[in-house]
Amino acid sequence: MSPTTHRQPLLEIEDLTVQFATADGPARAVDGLSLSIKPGEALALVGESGCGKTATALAIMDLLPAHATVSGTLRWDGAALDPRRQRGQGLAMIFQEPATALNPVLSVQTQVAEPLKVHRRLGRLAARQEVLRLLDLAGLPQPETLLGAFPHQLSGGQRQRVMIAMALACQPRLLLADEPTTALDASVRAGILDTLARLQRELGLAILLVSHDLGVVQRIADRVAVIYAGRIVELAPCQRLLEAPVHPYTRALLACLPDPFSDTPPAEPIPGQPPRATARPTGCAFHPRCPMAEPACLRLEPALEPMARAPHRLVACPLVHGEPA
Amino acid sequence: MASPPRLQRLTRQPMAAVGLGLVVALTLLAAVAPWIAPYDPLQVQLGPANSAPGLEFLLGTDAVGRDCLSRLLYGGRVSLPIGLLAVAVAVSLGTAMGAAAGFLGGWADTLIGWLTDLFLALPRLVLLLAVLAVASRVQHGRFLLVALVLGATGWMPVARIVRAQVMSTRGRPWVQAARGLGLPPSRILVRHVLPWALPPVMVHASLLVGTTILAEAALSFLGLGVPQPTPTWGNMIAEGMHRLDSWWLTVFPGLAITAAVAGFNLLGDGLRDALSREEETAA
Amino acid sequence: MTAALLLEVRGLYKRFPAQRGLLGGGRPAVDAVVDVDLTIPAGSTLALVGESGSGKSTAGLCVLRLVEPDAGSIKFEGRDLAAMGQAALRPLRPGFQAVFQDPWASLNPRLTVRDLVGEALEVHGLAQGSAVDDRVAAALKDVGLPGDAMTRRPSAFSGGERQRIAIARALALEPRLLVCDEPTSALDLSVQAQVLALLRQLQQERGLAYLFISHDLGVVRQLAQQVAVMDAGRIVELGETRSLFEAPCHATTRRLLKSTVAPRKRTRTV
Repeated sequence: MSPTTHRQPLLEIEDLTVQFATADGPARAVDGLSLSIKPGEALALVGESGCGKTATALAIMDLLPAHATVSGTLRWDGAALDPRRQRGQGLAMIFQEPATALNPVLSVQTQVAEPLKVHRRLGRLAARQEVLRLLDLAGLPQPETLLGAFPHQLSGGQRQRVMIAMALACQPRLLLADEPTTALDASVRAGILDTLARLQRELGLAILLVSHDLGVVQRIADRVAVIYAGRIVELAPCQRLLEAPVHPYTRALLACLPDPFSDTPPAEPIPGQPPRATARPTGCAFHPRCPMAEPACLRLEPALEPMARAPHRLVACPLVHGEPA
Repeated sequence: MASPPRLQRLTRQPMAAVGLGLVVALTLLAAVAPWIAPYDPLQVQLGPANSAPGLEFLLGTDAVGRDCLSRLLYGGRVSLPIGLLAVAVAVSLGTAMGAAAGFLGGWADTLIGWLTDLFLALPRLVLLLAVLAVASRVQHGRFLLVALVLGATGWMPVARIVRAQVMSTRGRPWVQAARGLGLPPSRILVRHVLPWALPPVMVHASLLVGTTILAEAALSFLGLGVPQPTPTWGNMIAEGMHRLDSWWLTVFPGLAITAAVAGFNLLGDGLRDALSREEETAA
Repeated sequence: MTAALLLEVRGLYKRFPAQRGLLGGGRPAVDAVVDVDLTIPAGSTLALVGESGSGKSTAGLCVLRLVEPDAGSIKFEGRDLAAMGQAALRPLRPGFQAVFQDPWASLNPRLTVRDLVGEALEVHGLAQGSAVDDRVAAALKDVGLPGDAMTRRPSAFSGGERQRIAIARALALEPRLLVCDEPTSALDLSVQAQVLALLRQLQQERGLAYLFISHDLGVVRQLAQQVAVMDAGRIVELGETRSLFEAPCHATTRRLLKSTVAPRKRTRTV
C-alpha cells in the first residue's frame, strides 16, 4: 500500500449521474457521485448488487450501453477527460469474467499484442518481446510457453493475468478492476491481488477496484468508498473503515460478516432490501432500513462531508458527523 | 401460458404484424370462399374462355372458362390446409422423436439419430414421388395422403432442433431441482424441459408451412398432387404454364403462394424475436 | 443419549470417467468423492467444507441421488437410498430436500410461485386443489414472503427472495433433512445474513437437519455443530465445530482458516 502524496488528483469525478431507460421507467444507477483518485493510489468502490459501483466504472471508461444517460464532469490530470482517447492509454480496465473477456479464437500472443500494434505501433518482433515482458510483469511464469496458447487452455487465474497484461500494454496510469477475483477460486485470488498490489508499487499505477467482497478490498485498497443506492455514503482509509465504520449502513454491513473465529451469535440482519433504481426513497436512501433514522432523514438528502473530528474521513449522515473516528 | 401478452408483443413488431396480417387474411379468404366466390370454380363455360382480367371475371378465366378468382379462393382451401396439416404432422412426429432422443439418451438417441440420418439422406421429392406413384390410384383421400407424406418427410429438422434443446435444458438447475423434488420423468420432460424447445420449433414450423405449400405446388405441377378439377394454387400454375401469354393464369396463383410463404416467414421471424425477448426477461 | 441418526453415509465413492475431447485433449478420469463417511443426527447440522473441486458438492448430490454414486451406502431413516432404484426412491424424496446455489436458475422461470412450490405436493399426493394453495401460502409465510407472491413469476423477485422461494419449495414437503449446496454464495452480504438467519430459525422451529455445503467458514461456524473438511474427494478432518476451528489438525483445515477473509483486525495465527 503506497503512501499517497499530495499531488494533483489523477482522476476527478464530479456529480456523476447515470440513468438507464427501462421498461419500468428511468432507473438511476448512479446519483450525484463525486470522488477523486490520486496518482498511485488504490481506491475501492464497495457495495452490494445494484448499488451503482460497476456503472460508475463503466461511465469512466465510456463503456455504458446506448440507453444510458450520463451527466457530470470527469477530469483527467486537471483537463476534461475524453475516455475514447484515454482508453487503452491512460486508462485501462479488467473485468470479472476472464473467460468471456478474452477472445476464444485468438492466441494469447495475438491478443496481448493487439493494443501494442494499435496504440504503440510496434512491429511484429518488437511486439513479441513486449508481450513476453508484459506477461512476466503480470506474474505468469515462463511466458514463452504461453504465447501460442488459447484461452480455453488456461486456468482462470492465468486468464486473468493475461487480461492484466493486456491492460498494461499501453502503460496506463489508472487501472479499473471490476470484481477481478470474484469468478476465481479462493486459492488463486490472493495471488492476483498481490500482483495488483505489486504493480501499484512498481509502476506507480493507480487502481480503482470495484468489489462487493470486503476481504478483497482489505488486501489492496488504500481508501474505500462505500456506495449505497448510487451515492457514496462513507469514504475513509481502508483499515479505519473496517475497524471503526461510522455510517449506519457500513456498520450494519460489516456486522453481517460471518466470523469463523467468534462464537458470539450473529447480529440481526439488516431488514428489508436495497431500493430498486426505479424507486428511490425520498431524502436519505437508507432511512427505511436505518436503526437511527429520524424524521429529518426522510426529507434531506445528506451530503458527503468530512467528519468534525476526522476531516480525512467523509460520511453522508448528519447523525454521525460528530462522532470520533 | 399467457397468450395475450405474447400476442401484444408480436403485433408490436411491424414485420411480424405484416406477416400475421397476411396469414390471417389468406385464411379468412379461404374460409369464406364458398360465400364470396362470384362463380362456381368447377363450372366450365366455353364462351368466356381465356379472357383477361376484366369487370366480369376479375382475375380472368382459364382455358375452359372457369373463373380464376373463384378458383384462387377455393384453391386456398386446399393449399393452406395441406400446408398446415403437413406441418402439424411433421412437428408432432419430430417433437416426439427429438424429445425421446434428447431425454432418454443412450440407445434411444442412437436409434433415432440413425433414423433421422436415413430420412435426411433420402431426397424428399423422390420419396414423395415414389409414395404418390404407388398410391396414384387413390383419388378421394388424396388430400390427406399428400399432407401425411409431406409431414412424414419433414419431421427430421424438427427432431434435431428438439433434441438439441432438450439436451441443453436437461442439465439446467431447475431440472435438477425438479428431480430432487421427486417429480416423475414424464412430467419433468413435459413441464420443465419441452417448453424451451417450443420457441425454435414454432419458428421452424411457421417457416415450414411456407416450404410445404411450395412442395405441394411442385407436386401439383408434376401432376401428382390433388387432381383436377379441384383447384389448388399449384395445379393452377401447372395448367397455366402451357399458355404463358395468358399471364393471369400463373401470376395470380403465384402471388398467392408468395403471399402465403412470405406471410408465414415473417410470422416465424416475429415469433422468434418475441419469444426470445421473453426468454431474456425471464432469465 | 445420542439422537437417532437421520443420515448415515458409508464408503461413498464417485468417479467421473475420462472424456475424450472433440479434437484431441479432453479430461482424465476424476475421483470426485472417495470413501466418504458422514453421520447426521436428527435436528443437527453437519457442514461439508472445502475449496472448489474438493468434491463437497458432488458428495451432496450423491446423497440426494441426483448424481449416481458408484459405491457406498446412504442410510436415511434406516433405509439405504443407494440400493434403491430411482422409481422406488421418488416417494421417499419429500423426506430429504435440497436448496441449491443458483437462485436464478434453480427456479423454472416459466412457472408461477404457486406452481413452483405446490407442484411436488400435488405429484406426491400430499394435497389437492385448494389445499395446495393453503400449504403454499403457509410455506411462503414461513420464509417471510407475502401471500401475493403466489401469482408472480421468479423474475419479479430479487436473488434473496428467490432463494426464499426455493427454501419454501423444499419446506412444503415437510422434509427431515435439507441438503444446502452453497445456498448463500451467490447472494449479497446483507441478503446472506437474512437467509442464514432464516435457516437457523427454521431449524429451531422444526427440528430440521442440515447437510450444509459451503466454502465460507464464517457461515459454517454460525450454523453447524459438526464440520467435515474435504480435500481431493476425501474427508481429511471431521469434528465438532468449535474445537475444529480453534485447534485444526489437518493442513487443509489450517489453510482454509488462514485464507478466510475476516476483515477485522483479527490476526489469528493458525
